[in-house]
Amino acid sequence: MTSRVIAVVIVSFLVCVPAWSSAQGPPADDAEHLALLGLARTARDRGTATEAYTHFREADRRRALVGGSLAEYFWAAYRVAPAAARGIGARVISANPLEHAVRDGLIGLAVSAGDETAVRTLAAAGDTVDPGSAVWPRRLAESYLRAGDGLRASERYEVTARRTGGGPADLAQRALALERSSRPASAAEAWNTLDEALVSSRPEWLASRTRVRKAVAPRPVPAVARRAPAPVTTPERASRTADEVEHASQRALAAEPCAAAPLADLEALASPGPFLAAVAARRASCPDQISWTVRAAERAIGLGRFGDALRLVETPATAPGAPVEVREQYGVLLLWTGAPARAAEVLRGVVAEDSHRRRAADALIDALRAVGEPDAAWILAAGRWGDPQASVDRRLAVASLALETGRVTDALVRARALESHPVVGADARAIVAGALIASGRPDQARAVLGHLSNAPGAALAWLDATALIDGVGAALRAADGLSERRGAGWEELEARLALWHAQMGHRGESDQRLSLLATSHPSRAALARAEIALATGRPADAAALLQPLVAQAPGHVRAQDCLLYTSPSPRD
Amino acid sequence: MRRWLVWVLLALVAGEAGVFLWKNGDVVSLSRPADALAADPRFAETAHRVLAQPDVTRRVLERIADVAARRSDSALQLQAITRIAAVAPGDRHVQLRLAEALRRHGRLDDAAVLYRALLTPPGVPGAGGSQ
Repeated sequence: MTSRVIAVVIVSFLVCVPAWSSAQGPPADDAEHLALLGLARTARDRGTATEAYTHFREADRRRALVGGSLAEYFWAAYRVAPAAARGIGARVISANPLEHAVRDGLIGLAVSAGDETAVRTLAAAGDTVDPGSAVWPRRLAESYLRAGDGLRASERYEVTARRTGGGPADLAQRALALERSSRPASAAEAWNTLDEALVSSRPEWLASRTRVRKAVAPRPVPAVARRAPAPVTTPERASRTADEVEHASQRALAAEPCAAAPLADLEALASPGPFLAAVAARRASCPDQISWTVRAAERAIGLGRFGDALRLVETPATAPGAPVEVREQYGVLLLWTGAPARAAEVLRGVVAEDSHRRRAADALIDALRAVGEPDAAWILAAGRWGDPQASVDRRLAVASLALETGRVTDALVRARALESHPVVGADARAIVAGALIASGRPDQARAVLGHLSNAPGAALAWLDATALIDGVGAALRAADGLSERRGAGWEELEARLALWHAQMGHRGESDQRLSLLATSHPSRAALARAEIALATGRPADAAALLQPLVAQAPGHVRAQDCLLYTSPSPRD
Repeated sequence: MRRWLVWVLLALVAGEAGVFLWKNGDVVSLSRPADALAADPRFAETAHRVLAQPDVTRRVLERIADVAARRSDSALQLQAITRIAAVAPGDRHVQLRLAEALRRHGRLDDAAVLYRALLTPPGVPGAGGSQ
């Protein structure tokens, strides 16, 4: 009996000793799994997405990833292996249906794969688990719109506009959808309720509104277009096939290059290509060429083909003595196609010639802000404040510019005047908060905002105030609570987060944010790198980054301001 | 006589406690709750003074690493975990934490080297995760 007890004790000891000794850390396979995850994250931080994906996949193969790690695996696969990412994403939302960002990412992948059924299934499920959000009805509406079902799209956009995160832009999309559902009267009514500044912010909206207004109540033809002949459609022409019309028109234009009737026939075709090509190939010396060019450009804008529209108007707009209307359209198109510096140059001429052209003036203000010349933009914008026809968005832009140019009291007064507006109130409060921070009152700024919201301007102001009150670490932790930081308007916040991470020594996070920012806003990313160099005591590096920026845009006030700090002060 | 002896003893104990607090005030202050330390603006200064000492217990180092993580102070966290790794060289869990701290601090190459070393089974030449 005694010997059996001794044997049991010895065996237990032999079994337990290795287990005890391995308690110095996780079991070997556990450590390897965690090391693989660490390698994946390191590769991701370095920007080597394929390597990150490979390590995540290996870690998942050894032991199925769950929770946050699985979501990280999804985002790694999202960029390099979209097909695999769809499977991984399905696992993520199956385990946690509240992973809204992953669900939205999955919708993006389904759209890329042309799988509208999956888009609608995902969006409908999202709407069930997150019923107050505007994202899911919007995704449904977009899907219906892509499928050509304008009526259902308009219904979903209407729902979207009422949800948290929805707004006037969804109502504009609703109007566009109504137009696509062949309901010009409803579409015109929908467009009429929307603000001018909103409609003119997107060319396809402007073109849709123009089309439906023409369809329901033709307005007087503009001076330029008046010279163009009306489209000619006879019963014989209508019965011809598109190919026949195209060939007949081409023959007619070959015989008589300045003929208008063949262009009118081509304009009536469903496919815009032949019409745009014919107008582009037509002689500049034809007497009505400018009006046809404007019409063709509007058609291209309506289709979202801004590059084609720009190419059409470029020649007539840059010719000596070009009409101001064409130059205005050219300038606006330059801005829309991402050439704000050239747009500013063209629009300056237009506004100098005719200061009453509001569309040109507003586009010039936006272009000057985009190229970093807020002071020049301010001179124009301040005059728009008192204009009774200026939309609330333009007035908000004035308040924002006041803050951008350091006119803190001015910004505070103007933004306070818009604080209670139902559409721009939240943005106005963000400007008020920014002005309060600039005047050394971060606690009041946070009180004005109330909470950290998912709107870029308000979020930035909230985090700035938090950084001043509780420190940069607290601001960074608070920023983790922001659910969506993609898209337009977030670049300033991303630049700020990159700066803070750099200040805290998180170089990986900082570099990652800067790399992402550089893909969408290269000059802002360059400025952010310079700001980081200055904040981390590397003025020479900052100067090397800023000099090309200033050379490219001599009026870039922020770059010039930063450059001042790169040279030693005379007292040093 | 006995009363006098008690007073002398009490004075000696008080003196001893005073000297202890004077010499180890920083370490004592780190024994406060982590939330209170995370909100203390002088924490980083205190932690750096403690880390400058040659002999610091693992408990204190763990406290500094924990609070530094809460404050997103990756440099301080890395410093504390490096010291922990020095006192526990064979601890794979600490090696993993060190690699993670290196990654968070932006030392991606060093982090990758350490992670790769952890992928090699213990006992194989080159394993051990030394930096």
